[in-house]
Order: sequence, then C-alpha cells, then structure tokens
Amino acid sequence: MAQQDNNAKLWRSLNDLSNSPEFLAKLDKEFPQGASQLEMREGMHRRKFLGLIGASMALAGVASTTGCIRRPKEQIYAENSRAENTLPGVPKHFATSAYVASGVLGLMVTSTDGRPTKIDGNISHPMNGGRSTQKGVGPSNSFAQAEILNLYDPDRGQQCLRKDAPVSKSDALSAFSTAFTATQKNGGEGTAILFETSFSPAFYHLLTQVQEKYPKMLLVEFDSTYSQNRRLGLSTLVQSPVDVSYQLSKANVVLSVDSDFLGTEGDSVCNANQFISSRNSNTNGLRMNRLYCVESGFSLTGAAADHRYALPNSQTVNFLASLASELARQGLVLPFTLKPTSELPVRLQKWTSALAKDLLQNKGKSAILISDRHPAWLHALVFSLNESLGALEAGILQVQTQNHFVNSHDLSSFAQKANKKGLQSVLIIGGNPAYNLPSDFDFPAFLNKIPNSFYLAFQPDETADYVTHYIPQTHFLETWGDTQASDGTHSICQPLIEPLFADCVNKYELIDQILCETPRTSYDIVSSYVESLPGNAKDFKTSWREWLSSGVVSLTKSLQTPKARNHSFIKNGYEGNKTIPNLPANSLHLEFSLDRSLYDGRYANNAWLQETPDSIHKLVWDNALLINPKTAQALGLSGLPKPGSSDVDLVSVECNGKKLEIAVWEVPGIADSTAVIQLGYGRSFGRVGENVGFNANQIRTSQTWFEPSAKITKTGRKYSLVSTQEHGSMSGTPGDAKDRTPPIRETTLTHFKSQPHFVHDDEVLPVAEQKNNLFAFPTDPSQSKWARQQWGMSIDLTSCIGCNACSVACQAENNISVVGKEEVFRNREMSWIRIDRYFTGEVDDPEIRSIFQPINCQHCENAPCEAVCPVTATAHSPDGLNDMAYNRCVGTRYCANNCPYKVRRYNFFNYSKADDERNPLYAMQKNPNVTVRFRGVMEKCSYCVQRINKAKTLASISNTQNLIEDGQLVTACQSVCPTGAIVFGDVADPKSSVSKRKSLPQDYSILGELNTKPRTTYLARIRNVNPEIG
Amino acid sequence: MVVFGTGLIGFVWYYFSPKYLAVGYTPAQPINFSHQLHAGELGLDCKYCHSTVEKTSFAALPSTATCMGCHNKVLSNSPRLALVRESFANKTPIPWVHVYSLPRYAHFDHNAHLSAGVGCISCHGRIDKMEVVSQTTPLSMGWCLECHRNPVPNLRPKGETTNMLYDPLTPEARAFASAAHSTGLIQPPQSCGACHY
Repeated sequence: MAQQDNNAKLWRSLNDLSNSPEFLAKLDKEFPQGASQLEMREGMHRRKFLGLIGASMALAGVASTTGCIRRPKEQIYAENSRAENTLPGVPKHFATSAYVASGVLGLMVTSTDGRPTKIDGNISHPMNGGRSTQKGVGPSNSFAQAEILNLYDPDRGQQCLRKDAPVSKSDALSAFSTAFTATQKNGGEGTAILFETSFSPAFYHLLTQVQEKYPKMLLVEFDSTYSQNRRLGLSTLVQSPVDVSYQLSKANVVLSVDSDFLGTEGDSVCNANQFISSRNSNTNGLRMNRLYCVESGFSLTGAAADHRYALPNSQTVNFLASLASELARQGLVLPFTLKPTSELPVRLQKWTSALAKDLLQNKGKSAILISDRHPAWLHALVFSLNESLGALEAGILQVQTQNHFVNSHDLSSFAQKANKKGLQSVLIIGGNPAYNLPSDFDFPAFLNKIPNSFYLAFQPDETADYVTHYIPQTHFLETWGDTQASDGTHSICQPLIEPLFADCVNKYELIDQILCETPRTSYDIVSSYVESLPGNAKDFKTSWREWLSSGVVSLTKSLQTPKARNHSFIKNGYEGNKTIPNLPANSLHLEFSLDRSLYDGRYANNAWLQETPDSIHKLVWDNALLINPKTAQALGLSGLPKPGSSDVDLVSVECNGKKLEIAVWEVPGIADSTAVIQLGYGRSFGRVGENVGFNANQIRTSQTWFEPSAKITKTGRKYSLVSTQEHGSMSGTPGDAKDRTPPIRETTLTHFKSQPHFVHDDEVLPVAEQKNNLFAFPTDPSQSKWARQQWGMSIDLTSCIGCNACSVACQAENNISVVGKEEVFRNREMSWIRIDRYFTGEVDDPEIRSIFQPINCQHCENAPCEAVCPVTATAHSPDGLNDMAYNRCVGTRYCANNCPYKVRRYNFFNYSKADDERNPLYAMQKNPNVTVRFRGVMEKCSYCVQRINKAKTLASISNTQNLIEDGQLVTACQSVCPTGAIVFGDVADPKSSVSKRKSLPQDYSILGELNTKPRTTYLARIRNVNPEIG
Repeated sequence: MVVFGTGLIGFVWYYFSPKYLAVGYTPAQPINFSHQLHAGELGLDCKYCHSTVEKTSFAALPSTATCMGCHNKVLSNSPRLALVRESFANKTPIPWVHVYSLPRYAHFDHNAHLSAGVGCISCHGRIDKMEVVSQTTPLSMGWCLECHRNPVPNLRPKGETTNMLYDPLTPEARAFASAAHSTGLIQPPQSCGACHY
C-alpha cells in the first residue's frame, strides 16, 4: 500500500468501524429506516388523509367546470415615491459590525427592497480577513449567517411588559427614568446597572458619564462566555488592564492547550483565516505550519491539528509544567521554574519533548494558546512561555489596552448588596442572567429582593419572568452603535431597517434617559462620541461617511506593551493549584464548553443552528454528556443507539450537590474518564428552543469550567438522541471493499513531497479516463455560447476546519427548510451541503483524529440522477450544471436513489409552509431569487445558479464577449468560508483559480471509479507530521 | 366513444391551455389609465414611466410621484385622478392589478431581454392601442421557448425596443436580426436552469 498514512482506516461511527451488517445495509440505500414510508404526522389518520385528497379532487372538478382556473387577482403596489438610487429587486449592501458569538465581526448586509435578507462578512474588516484593498463580501461564521433569522425571530420582544402584562412604551420608560433619576441627589445610592459584556466604546463612554453623575451606582459587567480569565490573568501579570490578540499567519508552530481558537473561542474567523493562510500547501510552495493540540474534549482545533493528544483535564497543569521544564531543559531561559507533580505517560513524554524541540527550533515563530476556560494564573504562565519563545517580540501575540469597561464591579458585590436589601432599582441589559449564570449564583432570588427591576433584552426570556419591567431591545440591524474588535479596530454599526416593533429600544437611548434632560437618538450618541475621538480630521462629516461605507473607522491606535511582569502570580497560582485526588468509583472529570451551534444559548431559538449537526458528534436539536466509548463501557453505559433506533441511556450527573439528568453520547477522542457537556440547551423559552436538550448551568458553578469529579448514575431510562453521523454514507461500487476508493485521501507532507500523485494510488478506473471530460455539449450549435464557460468547484480538505459556516450560509441563501428532530431521524434533513466527519485511528487511541469533508451536489457530467428521471426534471445545462426544475418534478425519488453521493433532498412534507406558519416573520428573510420549494419535490445544491444567472446578465451587458470574469461569481458557501477551502469558477478556462486548484497533483474525485465525472473535486488532506512523533 | 374521447382531449388541449385561459385577461384597474392616450397619442416613451426596465429584472410600475410630475399641472382637478392625488397626499400605494404574472418558479429578467434587443411589443403587444391593458401572449413555457429557439423574428436594434411602429420585416431589419443572432451572440439559453431556480 503506497498511501502509508492511509493505512489508518477512516470511519464515520463505531458501527462503521465494526462493519456492522446494519451499517452495510445503510450504505446501499438512500433513505434507510422508514424515510420513504408514508408516515402521517400526529393527528393525521390515513382515512382522513384520503378524505382530504377526495375533497380536493372534487374541488378541482368544480373549479374546472366553472372555468375559474386562473390564479386569483393579484395586486401590485407601486411605491409612492422611489428613494434615490434604489431599484426594485436590486439588493443593496451596507457595511456594519456587531459582536457575534465569539467575537466582533465586520459585516456586509444584503438588503432586498428594504428588508435585510443576508448577513455576510465585510472583507475590509481585519476580523474577516482584512484584505483592505478589497471591498465587499468576505468570510464570516455560522453565527453571523444565522443572525438574520434572529432579526425575524417571532419570539422576540414585541412590547413592554410590567409583571408579564403589556404596558405602553412611554409608561415603561418613565417608570425606568423616575426610578433612577430620583436617586440622583444621593449619588445613585441603591441602584445598579448589570450589563452583558459589550464591545461598544460609545456605550462604555455613556457608562462613564453615568458613573460621574451617579457615583454610588453599581455598574456590573457580566459575561456568560469565558473571556474574563484571560484578561484577568494577563492584567495581573503585566499589572495594567490589557488583552491579547493573535497574528497566527506569522507562526510556524502552534500549540493549543484546550483552546478552540478555530471554533468557539475568540476571533475564530480571523484566527482560522490567518492560521490556514500559512498552511496552504499549494500557495506556499509546500511549506506548512504545524499545529499540536492537547485537549480533553474534541474541538475543531483538535480536528485540524497535525498532532492531537486527548489528555484528561486533571493532567493539564501537570502537562504545562512538564512542557515548561522540558523547554528549560532544552535551553530556553524562563523567568520561573515549575516542578511537575508527577510524570506524564511515557508516550506523552516523548510527544512533549519532540514538541518542545519543535517550539524551540522555531523560536520567534511559535506560540502557545490556552483555553479561556482555564484559570487566570495559567494564562499568565502561558503568556510568559510565549514571551520567552519570542512570540510577543515577533508580533504573533499582540498586547493592547482592554476594550472593556474597566471600572466595573463584579457580580459578588451586586449579590452582597442585594442580599442586604440595599438595592431599590436595577437595570439589566441583555445576557439573560437567570439562565446563563451558574447554579451557585441564584439570580432570581436576588431579583426578588429588589423592588424595581428593569430588563432590556431581545427576547422576553427566562430573566424576564423575574423582573418588574421588561423592555424589548432592538436587533443590531435596527440601531446605530459601534464596536471595537480585539485588535482595536473600531467600526460603526448602521441600521438597515426601522425596528420591526415600535416598542423596541436600544441600549444607548435607554441609558441616555437617565443622563440627559432631552434624550438623544442613538445616531447622535454614537456620532458625537466618534467625533470626540482624538486624531479626528477637521472634516468629520466626510470621514464619517467614508467609515460608514467601508465599515471601519480609520483612526489608528498605537500598541503599547507594558514592561512590568509579576511572575510571583504564576508561582503562587501553581503552588495553590490543588492536586486532583483520584477519581471515586462511578465518577468522571466533568468539563463544560460553549456549544458550537448555540454558543451560550443565545441562539437556542434559532432553528437553523438547532438543526445544524455539531461538527464532531453530529447531534442535532440536543446536547449530551459526551464520553468516549472506553469510558462508556467502563461505566456500563450505552451512548450509541442501535441502527434503526435513537435510544441512549439517560444518566443522572451529580456534582456540587446538584443533579442533572442528561443523555449519554459516545464520542471517540474525548479523553479517558472525562465527560463534556455543552452549554446553551435546556432553555425554558421560545417556540424553537424550549425544552431542547439539557441545561448544564444547573450543575455548573462560577468557580470553574472543569469539575474534578462528578458522580454518574444510570437512571435506567432511555432518551432519544438524533445524530447525522451515519447519514449519507457512501459506498460506491457494491461488493468487495478493495474495489472502492476511499472518499477521503490523506497523507503526510513528507510523503506528499516524494509522491505528489499519491491520491491516484488506489484508483480503480484509470485517472486519464476519469478526467477526459469537459462535456461534449451541446449538440445544438445555437447553444454553443452557453458552453464556453463550464462551472466547477474545488474543495481543499487541508483547509476545511469543519466549522459549518458553509452549511448555514447555504441555508440563508437558498431558502432551505428546517424539518425538526424526528424528521432528521428519518434522514429527511434538507441541508444542501453536509459536512461528513470521519475519524481516523484506533477508537481508544488518545491520538485519534478526525477529518471533515463538505459534500454538496457534485454536478456529475455523467450524472446518474438524470438518467432515471422519468420526466426530465433534472437535466444538464450547456455550462455543466445539473439543473433541477422544481415545477417539473413529480416526486418519484428515483434520482435520490441513484445518487451515489446521496446529496439529493426530498420535501416529504410542505416543510417551508409549515415553518412559515409556525414562524410568520421568517418569510421576510427569504431570498426572492430562489424558489421556495413545496411538498413533493426534490432539491439539491444548484451551485447558486441564481448568482450564475445574475452574473451572466451583467456580463452580457457589460462586455462584448458575454463572459463572466474569474472572481466575479462567488457561491454562498465559497464567500463565507473563513479558510478559503472552497473555490468555484470556470473549469474551461485554464487561468481561472478553480482550474489552477484542479491541476494540483492532490486533486481527486470522490467515487471516481463510477465514472460519474463530478465537477466538484477535492484536494487531499495533507498533514505536516513531526517525524519524531510519527 | 372514440369521437367523444378525441373531442374531450381536444377540448382540454385548447381550452385548458394558457392560450385560451391567459390571453385576453383584461382586469379592471383602480384608475382608468389609458396606455392608448399616454403611449399612443401623446407618444410618451415606455421608459418614461417604466424607468427601471433597462436596469433591473422588473419593469417597475411608476411611483405616484411620477404621475404627479405631470398631473399636478395637467388635469390637476380631474375626478378620474382622485385616487392618484389621494395616494400622493397620504403616501399610500395605488393597488394596480397584476396582468402579466409569471409563476414563482419561473424567473424573468426585463433587463436581459432589452439589452438583447427584444422589443416590448414581442410580449406585451400593441400596448399603445390599449385603453385597458390586456394580456396578449400566453406566457406559457412553450411560447417562451419558441423565441428562445429562434429569436430572430423578435430582435431589433437596442434603440428601437420601445418603438411600437418598428417594422421587423424590412430587408434591413431582417439582416440586422440574423446578424445579431449569429455574430452578436444573441443566443438565448434553453436549459432549465436559465429560468427555473
């Protein structure tokens, strides 16, 4: 076998690995487990269904006899007067910015006829790639893509409430301002403002003014995500309020310690972009950076790593101490010495010394990143290591003044004062503290002791149940504002639409109620703040307009690195670190992490994200207690349903005297004796998010994200968990396994250098035959014009980090329906791009890895689906697209049956209609250029044909050749990808970027032996393995 | 029986087709706007009111402000224009009735057709002779494809697209159209994905 590294088998699930007969049966079928049976929804009986059919037939008869077949009279409402520079149907793009889950992003929002329909990244913002010469749509993440659905969330706050009863906006606001302004003569004694961490300098400026006016008011910043440890650690070390950001493109060797810098932690879009840019073997002339990852859970960063080691978090401190002493032994000068408490396992020892050698050899080009969940002193330790490794000097780490509100109190001072009944009025701004704060902080109890509580939030959520007044907050697309990214970039947020509901208030104007006699608008507040900034040119109006248009305020800030170092903080922290006692029986180390789909729960009412399968464990509409198969076996738990069922064990987790019942899910690659629970589920609010999954905050404490021990008891009951990990398993040729080529091809950099064409080693059909394509179309000479450009796609598996952004972007662009957990269980999910996740390695190996492969319609030139369609609803276009005419489809599902890639999706029910009826505002998000599909039709990836057609029209007007230039046409998945893994374009033009990609030696087709000649091809994954580890 | 069967098929074939059901649809409009007067007798160019037709896929209806551009002076008190004045004053839209409507799964682009040199008359007929707008073409897929297979009879110079009196049958016009088709790359697409997506 020439593919030395591919000896490690690739598998999708434990059933796949063990070749279970049920899994093999699944491979041959498009829709296993009852997907194709007619199953009635609840309340619908077969006889009633037939009755309905009969009735509608009879109606049709009446209709035809009376001759009124013509569709009902339709009205066109012309505008009263058209605003300047607006054209009906021509979307406009506005630059704005917002804090979206893990960090601040620059955004470019599409507005169609006045309603925002899509949110993308702003390419000129440094957090989205920062190609400052370019203007337009750039990368973002799945959260930013899904924010558009939040704007139209039917459960968002629509009116002010007083003790759950509607009150008028003016009553609510005057109650608020009297409660606060009355205390002004006492300096604000007895009042407090609790606010969710914000990234708006103008808002902090307002708070500073509040503090001057009400010196005794408590201003409490709280954060349900975990970035505070990092800021605290660094600030204590350098003795001034600072924070850190990364320039990973400058690093050759990166070590991540539990840090998911490519996923949920920090500026993942920017980090992923920079990290992959120095990993791209095709552009860098076979030079790649190397990523090591030591983690107890399984993160996206771990999946992208060249070397990953699953280490229980009880060992993390010891690992870092061992690494520090190993670095010191190999000659690195450190300002402190740490003595490891115990020896690492032999294998990890070898691993650590090879890692230390690599870090040292790349001194000045290496960096260590640690999870924000770890305690502050560990951040100080890692910062110190980085400084000694030269990362600070080289600019891989950049230290700057915190963009946070510095003079805030902490929650405990609020708790103390509330307990002593010392608070009369409190304002809470966002953050849903009643749900998000850990169980040891009984927030509702504090609120009960405060007579006047006001809550400004987007949704009347859990917290709204405990306050006296709820005031609905605007979405960020409805208000002026500003943001400051972690690297200091300042942006202005501009509104695209009036608040959908008149009662909505933004936080600037609400705070201004207690500051000014005549309250200002958010525009006045923000623009006067920006105008007051130092360094402003005289002509503020012009620069303001320029900044609005580009999305970035071009006032630069100088970076200053403080000189002081308080190394005793590290030493004290290390000495104070309790060694973790041995685990009692039936107990596990417990770890909490933010969810890759719902973050801290703020996206729980977002149906797109609920239905996006998690990158690693592929669960939808649920979280679970994630443990590895070995641990599950040791505890006698079953966390993997038998094929055809979805039942897993429900256990009770006990820690800190609190109990939580939660289902178990087995994930290979989680560290031994470790359990991971993702936050954000188990909400008790919202018609989408209510009672979905389990609320981990019930057993979490504010002390730590890593519980040393939690007792697990079987309840004996079962719970249904739905995972898509076996959906769409592809077999290719039936029969012998050796006749099949692996869908994923992977090798090491060294092997790739010696054997660039390694991907073809296993081909069954000669490669020349697979590639002798380019469509001999069309036979009709009048169509030759349309055959000059041939569309194709290339997906780089080395760059793909499995972040799901493409999948959600596709959903936003193509009006893809959500179907719900039960339907997903029947393999009826509708997403046009699925991300297949394969594990490689042995199940119990701590170095097990995983690989992602996005699969959309492959647009085969020799398409098996077209041959079987009885009504030619799917047919080829001269430019090489596999077209799907919805109105022609009669729903035989033959095409899906014959698709070896299993990418076709069938509307078993009228999902879009059902969804719109449940959530009436969703209709406003729909892309008007894409048909909303109805019951009984097949759909699949169209290569964004609406964008191709638009580009064609533009080309036919703007140039004589009527050709679309390379780069003019970008698919939704391509534009959102933070790492540039997806490239789309004209494969007939050898100079196009997609052709250049496809001419690389590592380019291959999946299931090429079937001679389908797919237009989507893949670049094999290449790992930069350290030869000393192997 | 055979005769009846054939008769039934023939009946359905013709009377259920858009050729019978759609052509001639002439709904009453909220305002008795006469294209015959404005486009015919007064000779206003189509693009004066339908100004977006060369820029977007829609030939958007004129805004009330466009109507009032003339009618604040001309016939400013006419009772027939009461609704226009009301709309302008109250900023309410005029509820025109849609005549040429396509199903949602078919996408049509006015801009692309005009820049290819297809005249308004090809689909909308002699609009300059209509007192009330009436649908003159079936808008069925077969009808669209007729032109997409052989566009030559409907091609004209770009400056003539709104000209209702242009004669496509003169030798010059014919020569122009066939040259536009063969060398000018006016070759309409025939694949499903060109309209259905």
